Amino acid sequence: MTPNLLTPVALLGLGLMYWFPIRRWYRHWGATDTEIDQSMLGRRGYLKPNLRDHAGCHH
Amino acid sequence: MGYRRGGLYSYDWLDRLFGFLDAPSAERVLVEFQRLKVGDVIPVGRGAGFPVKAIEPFRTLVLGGDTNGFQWTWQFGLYLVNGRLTRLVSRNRAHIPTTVGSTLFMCVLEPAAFVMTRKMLLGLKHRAEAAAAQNHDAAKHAA
Repeated sequence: MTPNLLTPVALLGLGLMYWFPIRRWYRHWGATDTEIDQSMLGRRGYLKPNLRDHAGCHH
Repeated sequence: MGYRRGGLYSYDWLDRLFGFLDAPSAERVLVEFQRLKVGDVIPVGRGAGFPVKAIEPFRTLVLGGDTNGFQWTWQFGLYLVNGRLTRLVSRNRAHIPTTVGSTLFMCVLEPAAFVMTRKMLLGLKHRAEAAAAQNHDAAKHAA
């Protein structure tokens, strides 16, 4: 691979790493699939969400 | 929770950097601020605060707002696992305008919000466990 291609490929790889495993991990931190799928009170009148994130811990 | 109340239980330096607080979060649960109702607004140092959209005592608190096409809700839920263990879950849902500016803004906001929310949940856990231990000790001494 030529040096000219190395930089964009590395950036693309880093971008994909961030967007899929890393972003997915922090948007679901500690929360179960059931908790993620639950409906939420207080959203009456709001548009369908296009962004969701969750986090959970025990105490 | 909130400005000039218990704080946000996250990283004090980040709360100050973002202008949410001007003092560290309280080290314990402040009993005097535990009565919220729908329509109340939890103040933060910057912006309009966090309006209370729904509340079920000891179960759920939902905050939410609608500003400039950005609609968001933020729920804190308590789920009993067994007699000694409870799960605390934070859930966010938002509808953001589908513009390049909003998308870029969210790309920056998301990881920052995660760092602060994670610390907040751990801060709440720490304070709740301390309060429970204190109540347990007080009951033991009274017996």
